[in-house]
Amino acid sequence: MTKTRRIKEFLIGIVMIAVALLLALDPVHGLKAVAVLLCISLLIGGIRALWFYLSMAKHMVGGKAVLFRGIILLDAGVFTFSIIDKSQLIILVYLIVGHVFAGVVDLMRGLEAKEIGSSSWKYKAGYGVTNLAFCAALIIAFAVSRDNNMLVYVYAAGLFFSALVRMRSSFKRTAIPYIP
Amino acid sequence: MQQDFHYYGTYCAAIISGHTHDESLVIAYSAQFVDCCTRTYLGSIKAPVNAATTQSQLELVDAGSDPLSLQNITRIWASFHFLPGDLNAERKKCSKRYLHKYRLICNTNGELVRDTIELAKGKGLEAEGLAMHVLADTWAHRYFAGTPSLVINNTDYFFYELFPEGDGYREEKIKFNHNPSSVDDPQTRQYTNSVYQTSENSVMNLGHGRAGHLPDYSYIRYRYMPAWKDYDDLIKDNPSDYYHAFCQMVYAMKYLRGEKPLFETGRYDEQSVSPWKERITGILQKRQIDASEDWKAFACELSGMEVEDFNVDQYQAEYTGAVKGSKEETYLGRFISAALAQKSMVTKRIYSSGNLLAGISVDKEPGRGGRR
Repeated sequence: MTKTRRIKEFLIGIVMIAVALLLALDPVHGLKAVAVLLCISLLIGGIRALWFYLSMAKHMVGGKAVLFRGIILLDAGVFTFSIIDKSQLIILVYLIVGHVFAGVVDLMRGLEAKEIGSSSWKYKAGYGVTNLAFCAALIIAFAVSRDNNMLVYVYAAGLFFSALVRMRSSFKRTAIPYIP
Repeated sequence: MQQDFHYYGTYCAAIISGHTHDESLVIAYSAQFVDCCTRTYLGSIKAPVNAATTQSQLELVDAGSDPLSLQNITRIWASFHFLPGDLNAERKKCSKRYLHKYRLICNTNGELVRDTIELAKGKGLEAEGLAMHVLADTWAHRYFAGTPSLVINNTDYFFYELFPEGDGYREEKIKFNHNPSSVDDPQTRQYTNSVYQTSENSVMNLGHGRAGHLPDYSYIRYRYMPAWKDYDDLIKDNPSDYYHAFCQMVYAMKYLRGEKPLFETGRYDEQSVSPWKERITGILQKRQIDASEDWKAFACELSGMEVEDFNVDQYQAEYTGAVKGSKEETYLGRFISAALAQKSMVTKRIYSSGNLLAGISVDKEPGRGGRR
């Protein structure tokens, strides 16, 4: 991991902790703020990917993947924007679906890393399993309490945990093959 | 390419071109030292760090992706390891940003190869060895660019090793992993490559990282699909390329010794090499990831002298012990001057072609007029 990447990971961790605190202190407005942040980051990511495709990646073998990524991110950003004013529950369900997706991807990446003998597989798979367990905890918490705020508190706790893992990884030594 | 070809192979080529044993050792050391001369090393001996000819893994890990860091990376890798084949190459319907990266693709027999050899003329054995490294790498590293670029240097799963069979080739799939502790295995065709990164300027996308060390192994022939070639595949025949590199080095060193009046691209001294052709192709085609032992045995036979192993610190004490003002007269001093001149020349050529990817050059060549 480069120095810049480590600093970036650390700063993202701090932002995640701030968001978790905001959610815990003001669940209603905090959740909307999270949705706005997510919407902006998805829109920016989508536009950047599309620009990269048009200016560079359209000439590259497999460049269409960049185009599809851009369209999906942009679409997800627009969709997020459309639900900001909707109920707390819809936003939460949307965030949970996002976490389930991220958890499955991490788990698959971990298993792939194990297959090729990389020592990082435990970390990746562990992160995926934690993400999925966290989503399960959210669903159970809601089923038991039937209280939207309870969901937000559990979500904030999960976000806090993710932030700590991310910040820890920014200090972790990484061994990656660089073969110029 | 690795130490086997850069050190022992260059020594053999120098002997065949007419150099003495001692001269050939200096040339071979210089050719190999290009792969060792990092900023960290130069800093440790209080030498000018701008003369770095390579970057260590740690330096690359810490390199930023801001324009200045990318220019620093490009200056080093394009000048010494991925010499651009055609700085004025054209490609229709593409952005300038893409074209600038496309023009940095390394290839053989470009104008810059000629400029590199001519620059080394009359500059001593250290400059000669450095030029041989650059020339040889154009053969090994052709089709990859010495700048981080996903759209140029990326590869995909389409990789097949070619085994001569009858009139054609039998193809076997090559498998890659990203495990840094894994050793490349020619028998199972399991190789390590860098991780796929979607970021255009990630150092993972520098040079031939995405193809692993395949370009560095002389025995391998393979078919793959480079990112820049519009879904056309390429066949890389390393035994043939390495043999051409060897013959071109002999030709270039004869020019540098004054035996040939001029250096022309596309010419190879196959005649001088022909008595040893079978021996050399035998070494080049042997399936092994390090051919140092075979090259060393051949080198000793060729000159009848003991060829000592490469020792990176061989000239360090001479440099650090020299008084200020006389450091330029030492081996490392002359190597550093040659490195600065080469880096400056290539950077200036890239800059003059309207391409800012390597930054702006400070010309070290008197009378050539550079700018800061």
